Amino acid sequence: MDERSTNLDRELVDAVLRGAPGAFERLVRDYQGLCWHIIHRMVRHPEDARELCQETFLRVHQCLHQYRYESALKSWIGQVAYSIALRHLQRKRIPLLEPAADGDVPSPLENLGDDFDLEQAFGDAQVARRLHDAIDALPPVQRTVLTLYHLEEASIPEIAMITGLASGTIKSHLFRARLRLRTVLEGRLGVAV
Amino acid sequence: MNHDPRFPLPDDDAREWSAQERALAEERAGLAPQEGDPQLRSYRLVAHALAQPLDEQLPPDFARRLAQQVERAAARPADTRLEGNLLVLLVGAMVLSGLAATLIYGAQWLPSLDQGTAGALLAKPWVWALAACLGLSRLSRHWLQHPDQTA
Repeated sequence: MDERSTNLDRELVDAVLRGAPGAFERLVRDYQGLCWHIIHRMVRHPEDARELCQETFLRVHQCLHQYRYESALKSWIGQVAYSIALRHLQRKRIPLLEPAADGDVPSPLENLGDDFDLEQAFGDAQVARRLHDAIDALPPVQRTVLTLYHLEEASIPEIAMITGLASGTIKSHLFRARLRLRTVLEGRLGVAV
Repeated sequence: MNHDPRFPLPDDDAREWSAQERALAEERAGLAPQEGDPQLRSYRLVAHALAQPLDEQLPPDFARRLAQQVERAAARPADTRLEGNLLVLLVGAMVLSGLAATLIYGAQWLPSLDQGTAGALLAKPWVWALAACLGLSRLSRHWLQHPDQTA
């Protein structure tokens, strides 16, 4: 975490704790995108996601005095959002990851062929739809890790801070999920939606 | 977590990982997809799809409404305390002025109540003193049980 962003975090946190007018609204505005991406990708239900986002920021407001600047404010808030979404899924008994694959299951790499027409794929709405369906069909943790990495442009250490997963595990999720998406894109795997 | 995949990867997978990361870097840099490497171009499509904003978003006034909600919640206890204190002061002032009026002017109008059993009771000053004591006792018990409303 660089010094400039630490100072910006400190200024914002101090202003919110002081009750400065507009400070909490600014904090929410700055981080609502991150929370929405994490929670929406985890729970996939817009109404639930909105409520959980609200719960996240109320928790942030309540516990902000406990923030010790040991990580970036973004990571700390992301961590709150992730844990709230995780608890929601656990309460609903929704599996967070796909079951461990047996040794006999072929690697998606073996399913890839050369006859996929990439020229046609670029700009094809149907292909885009298939990819988005495949993203939605991924397990919640993989979806969220992919979104943090690609959409939020979070680094692997930042994702580790937010999710509490080891860096190697995060890389492995990224690898498997993107390989799966490539396989779906090239038409070798069906998407269970 | 029910499954913990392993990293680093075997050689084939390492090349695949390298293609995934290269496609991501090219997509972020906005470079045109190059001819000849289908693996890279597939991952460019994947990276492009993953970088698209979600279809649904939070309402535009989400931050403002949430901040207002927090402000209201923070202000509510103070308002309630103020209202409670004002109410106690008002009731206290009414009780005291009633007692004072009874003591000062009671001699003139209390005898006029001396008609029937209820009237006879109301005409006795000690009945009013008893009622005041019971009222104060009830109020003090309420204050003891709800100290936050009297702070």
